[in-house]
Amino acid sequence: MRPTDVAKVAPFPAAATESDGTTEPWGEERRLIAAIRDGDRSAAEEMVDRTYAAVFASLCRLCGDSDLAADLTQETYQKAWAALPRFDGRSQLFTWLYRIAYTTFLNHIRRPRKMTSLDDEAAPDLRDNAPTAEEVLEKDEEAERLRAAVLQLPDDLQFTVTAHFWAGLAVKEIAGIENITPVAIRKRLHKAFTILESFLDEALR
Amino acid sequence: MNSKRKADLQRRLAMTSVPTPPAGLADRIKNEIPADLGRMTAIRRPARWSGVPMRIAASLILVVSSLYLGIRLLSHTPSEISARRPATINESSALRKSSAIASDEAQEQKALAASPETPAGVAPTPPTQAAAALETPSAAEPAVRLAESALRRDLATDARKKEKDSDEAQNAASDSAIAYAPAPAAPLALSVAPAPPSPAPAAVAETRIARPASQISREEAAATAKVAAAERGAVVDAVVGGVLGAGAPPARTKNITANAPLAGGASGVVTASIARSRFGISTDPLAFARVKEAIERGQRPADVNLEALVNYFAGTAEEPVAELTVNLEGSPAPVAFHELTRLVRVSIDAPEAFAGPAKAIATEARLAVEFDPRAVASQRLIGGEQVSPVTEAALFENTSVTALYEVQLKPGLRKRQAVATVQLRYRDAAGRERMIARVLGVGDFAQAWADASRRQRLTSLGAIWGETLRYDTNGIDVARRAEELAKQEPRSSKARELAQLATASSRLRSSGSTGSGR
Repeated sequence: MRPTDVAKVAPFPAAATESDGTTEPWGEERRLIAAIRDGDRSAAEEMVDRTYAAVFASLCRLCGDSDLAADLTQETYQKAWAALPRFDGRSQLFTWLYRIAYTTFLNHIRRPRKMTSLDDEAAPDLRDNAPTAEEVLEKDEEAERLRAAVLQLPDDLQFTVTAHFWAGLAVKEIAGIENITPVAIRKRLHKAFTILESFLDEALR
Repeated sequence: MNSKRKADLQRRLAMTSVPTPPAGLADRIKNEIPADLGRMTAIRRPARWSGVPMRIAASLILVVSSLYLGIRLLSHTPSEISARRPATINESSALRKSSAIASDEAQEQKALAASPETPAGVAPTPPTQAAAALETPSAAEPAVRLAESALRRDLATDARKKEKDSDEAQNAASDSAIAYAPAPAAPLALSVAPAPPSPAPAAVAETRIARPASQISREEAAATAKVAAAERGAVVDAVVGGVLGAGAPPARTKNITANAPLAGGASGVVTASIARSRFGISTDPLAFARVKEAIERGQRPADVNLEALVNYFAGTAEEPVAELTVNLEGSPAPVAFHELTRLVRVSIDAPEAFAGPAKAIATEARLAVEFDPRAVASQRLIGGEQVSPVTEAALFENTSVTALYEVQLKPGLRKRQAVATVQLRYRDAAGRERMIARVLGVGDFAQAWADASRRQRLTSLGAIWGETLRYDTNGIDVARRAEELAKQEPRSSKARELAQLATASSRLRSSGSTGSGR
């Protein structure tokens, strides 16, 4: 081989995000989980303090609504306490929490909506809280288009993309919870980019 | 999609705003922590979950055992069954003397049936990045049995040529030896000593007759070592000890001093146990050190052992493996070549031994790497001469060997088109024939070099760097790529090493003054 031309060298992808409160030394996590299993409430509160911001941020990126994200975050932790006995510690704590959060989000968007008649006097006040036109314009339309495109991806690709970019999980960690190889995760990401590109191109037309 | 677009998309995804949680959210979550947290979390695992995997495992064992017993019963007459008893060492000798070595399947069945613990079932192969894995138990697949018969006939032919008195081999089992030398162009001539007491190892001895080191003439040792010794100046490595790790194997290595003349007439000293090659591929652990030393002295290495550099950077499997595995991966090259140029890595990894001497986990290993001419216009083994199949007398724990191929694909291939097929046949510790097969299709290649595994990226970049050293070409682009890789893999000491040395070597130009690379 005689390497000469580097014009077509593809750049490396951006490094996976770290140190945003989601990663924690394994030993410390194990100590925390053991304490929670022993019924230590302060350990449970410490776990909340360490992880809730990242869980909220991930959910907010998924649903695009901070109020809804807050509700879903609470729901996530409710499920986490019940599921903690089944947590085997093979993945990081936040990875496991994100899995629960993501499932909670999916359950929410697929949940059948309760219909309330507007003529019912007992109906709650359903004022239109939709943002005004000015607020819509003030929003980051491009980010919203991207979010909508991500949510149109097939389930496996959607989870991989959101876990990697919006929850900051490393490829290897995602591979662990998905029970596939890191190369398969990278392939998923590549496939997702191709699909997202077509979605975004269509949205611009 | 082009790389620029992809990078832009990644940037946009990663740069979505990080919203801060509303005030009081943490308190609301904490208020909902169950009061009986300890009781809830005390339930470690629901009973149904603990029972299910055990039941599935038990059912599988039962089914496979029944299947195996049924096959054995159908293949033997009642008289044979009643006469069958576990083979002793002496009986093994009698079998070896009287049998038409391994070409008679009925006798093979007796030898296998004599094993008291022939396991049922097939050991699973860990999933690989590449493609479908095929593993065949020796008694289940007709196609494999035909192939096994062919293999045994080949081995029988070899064994007949070299057969000695099997009683001598048995008596010498306590100080039996495996000696092998790098021989890239021919199957290895030396055999594996039988491990005594277990009947299963006797099946191995049926096809390969052991020859202790003391019985191997100096001329034979010199002949087998001559080719590689002439090329690499290596000394013959000897491994002394039990082959199959039966019982408590003796120490794996010891120093033996012999005056067997090697290539060039130098007196050879058989030393420690580090193998210098496997399957004819150099794994000289000192090759990288020599190159590094030369570069650090400000000199361009005179002779670069590319195969050994490939193996240095390939290292061992990224995740520990439980058994012998074949890892097959393909990707584009790290620096621009022809658009249809790809790099194919074949790695064979053995499990790690954490205590005690490393045991042999496979014997009579035979590796075949084939490229489909419908997909591949040309291919070459980087750093060596390609010979397929190649054999290896024994594979031990704690070993890995990697071969890297440069292939030129044909245009217009479908994703399902197979590009490369790798087959590894061997005998496991119980003496059973095993085969691992891997297929790499067009669709299995990483789309971009950056998408490949860390091992693939390190191996391929290390190989290309080695070629820039060997052919004295400009390595600036390789150095740049290596620096990027080191940033992406901050925990990889090899990536850092490669970046430093590639940068240093890119500044060296051939000035007639070279340091020894060997």
